[in-house]
Amino acid sequence: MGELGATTLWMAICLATYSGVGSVVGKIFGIYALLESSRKSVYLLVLVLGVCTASLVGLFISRDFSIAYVAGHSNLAMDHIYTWVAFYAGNEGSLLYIAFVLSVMAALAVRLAPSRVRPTLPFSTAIMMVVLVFFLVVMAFMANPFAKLPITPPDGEGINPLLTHFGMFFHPPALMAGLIGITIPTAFAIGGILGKQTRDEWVEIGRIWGLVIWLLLASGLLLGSWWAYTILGWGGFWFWDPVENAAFMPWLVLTAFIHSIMVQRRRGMFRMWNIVMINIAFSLALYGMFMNRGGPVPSVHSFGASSLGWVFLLFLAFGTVVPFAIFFWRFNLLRSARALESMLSRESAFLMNNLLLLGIAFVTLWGTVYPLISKLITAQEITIARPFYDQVNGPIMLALIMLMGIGPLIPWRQASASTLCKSLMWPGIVGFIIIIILALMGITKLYPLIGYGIAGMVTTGIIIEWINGCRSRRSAFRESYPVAFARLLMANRPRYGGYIVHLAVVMVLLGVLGASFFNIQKDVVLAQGESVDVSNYAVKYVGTNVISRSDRVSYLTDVEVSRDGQFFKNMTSRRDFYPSFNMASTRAAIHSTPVEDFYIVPSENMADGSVGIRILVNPMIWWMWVAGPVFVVGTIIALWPDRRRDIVKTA
Amino acid sequence: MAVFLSVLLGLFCIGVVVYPFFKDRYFQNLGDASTVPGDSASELDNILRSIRALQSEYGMGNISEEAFTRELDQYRNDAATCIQHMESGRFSELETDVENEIAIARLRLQKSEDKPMSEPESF
Repeated sequence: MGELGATTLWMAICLATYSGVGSVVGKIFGIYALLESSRKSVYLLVLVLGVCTASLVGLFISRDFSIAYVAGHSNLAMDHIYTWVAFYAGNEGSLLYIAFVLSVMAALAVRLAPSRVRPTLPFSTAIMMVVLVFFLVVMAFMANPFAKLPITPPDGEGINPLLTHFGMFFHPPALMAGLIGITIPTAFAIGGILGKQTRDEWVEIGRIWGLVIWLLLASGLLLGSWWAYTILGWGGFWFWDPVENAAFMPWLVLTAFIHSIMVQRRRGMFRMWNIVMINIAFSLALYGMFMNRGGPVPSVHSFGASSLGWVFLLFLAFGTVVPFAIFFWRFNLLRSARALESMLSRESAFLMNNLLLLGIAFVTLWGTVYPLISKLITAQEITIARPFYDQVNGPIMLALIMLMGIGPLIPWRQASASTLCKSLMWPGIVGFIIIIILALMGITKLYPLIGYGIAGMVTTGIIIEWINGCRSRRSAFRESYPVAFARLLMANRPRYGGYIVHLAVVMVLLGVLGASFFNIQKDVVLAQGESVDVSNYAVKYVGTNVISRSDRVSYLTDVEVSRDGQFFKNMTSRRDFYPSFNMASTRAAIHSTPVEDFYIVPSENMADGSVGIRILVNPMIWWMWVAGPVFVVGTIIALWPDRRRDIVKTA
Repeated sequence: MAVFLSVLLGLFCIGVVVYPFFKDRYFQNLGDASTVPGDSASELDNILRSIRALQSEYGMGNISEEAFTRELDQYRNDAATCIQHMESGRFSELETDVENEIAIARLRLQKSEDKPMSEPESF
């Protein structure tokens, strides 16, 4: 099976190279057969890389330790359910996963490309193939998942204990798919320029793929935060880790892109701006992959020490310089159809949204690369810690969320100040009342006061929009409120799907504010039978069960929790120590409600029978996790295609 | 087994890749970037969406009647221009389709009679 995998890897390199070169040659010289053959090669790549992937998975299932990658990331004791995780746990497997995902996305993109972009599709295909060939060649020469060991060991080294968590089934695949998926809208944008399609032909396909990739990245980021919260044992969810940042930055720029592309779709504006946005997103995605593999900055995420850093750095340079060079080459052809008519318009609100998002991305980038720059210049590595990001990004994020509430209320082209004030009146009043109530309750911290006020304002604005829209349909079409609500949603899916996503953002804001500003943490060492008070909870250490397994020792810590003097519940948290990795992973015991999470995680079991425990009360963090499915629902609605007769019907 | 599967897969890939070169050769309009079919139709869809959004905004009271009337007139003008382009484009598309069919018929006739013919003019 290893031979099959290795052979299909080389087949894929040949097919991808042929497809990329053939697409361009066929287009330039008008050889239709070559174009069709190149297109079919794109579809074949899915089959070939699918066989390659299946070969590696098969090697894991059969525990073939003659293959170095299998031996390095699994062992006989590993549960079979972790085979999927082990597949992409290391450099080699993750590269294969990325290549396979890109081949699937490229095939879908080519197959489903609308007629408007077909004349320039060969150029877009070539760009996708260039990226795919890079990953395949890196795999073949520097990180071959099918490389054999000189001597087959009796057992493997096992899977990284931190990966044995439900979140790991989705977090890395979603993030990796998201990062490489940015190639698709970039390919359509740059391919369009190369083919001299300099109007809005690529907008719809760019919007759709932008949304899909945005959702993948958002899901990956949220799942990663959830994983960190439940398994890393520190009770937090975001550390501004360099590799976290490296996935966050392209997501920020992509968020800007999916908003500004709406302006191009509706008004034919921001043509140059959107090309720049997608190029920046693509560069940051390559940077993210560089950070993950190059290892210039240590992180819990990076694939250990890796020699691939320079290769990815060179490709990052190539992937940044070439798209921008093409952009500047055809710069003069990218004039927008219309100019900005008023600063008080939805177009300028979207522009402000983009600038704020780029600002957050730039601050994050600066904080991420500063250690490298300081080391280069001063030979001393100065790390940027969480307070920098919180203090600089925090206000920008609050301003962005406030704009999220105001922007949808501003009409296209031009708004009058009086109409806008009328639209903002009730949201503003509700936000102000919330601030007053919280201040009267004794909350004096500025950020949460403003943040909760903004959350109230945004939510009220969205609800008012829905109510007004339903009322408008009722008076026009005599529909009942439920029918009006459903048809309002279907009549303008991008808009109302976007409102649902905005609600999800508000939910994340609630969770972040609560857990960041109002959490209570206590680190204690408890002897058996000893109690400690945290907030209105009392925690009594009952005992620890020790279970020895073949690859780990599990410590199950039982505590009895009382609340307000009454028995509340028994909770069991777990700490697994893996001797072969000299590493422990934890499973926090969490009682989660919309109001607060009560969180217990053991840190260390002492020789005298006492146990080190971290106890946390995290208000409202539940809202952050529930926001995930809401993001998904909103994005699916926004993506759902309009039927042409729906567009004509009410216009 | 692995060698057999590899060879099978390789042969299949080669077959799929070379097949287009041996198919009957039809004249295919590769499509000029400046004459994209469906371009005007998509633009019309965008204009219709804009009109719908405008009506929705007016119905919810987010814009004044004067602004609504002004913008609706502008969108209607844009739609009329778009429909005009579509009508003229449809006619030239019909001409191209008819000429393509003639070229295909000529090629088929050439094959059946096995007579050398002059190449069809490029369109």
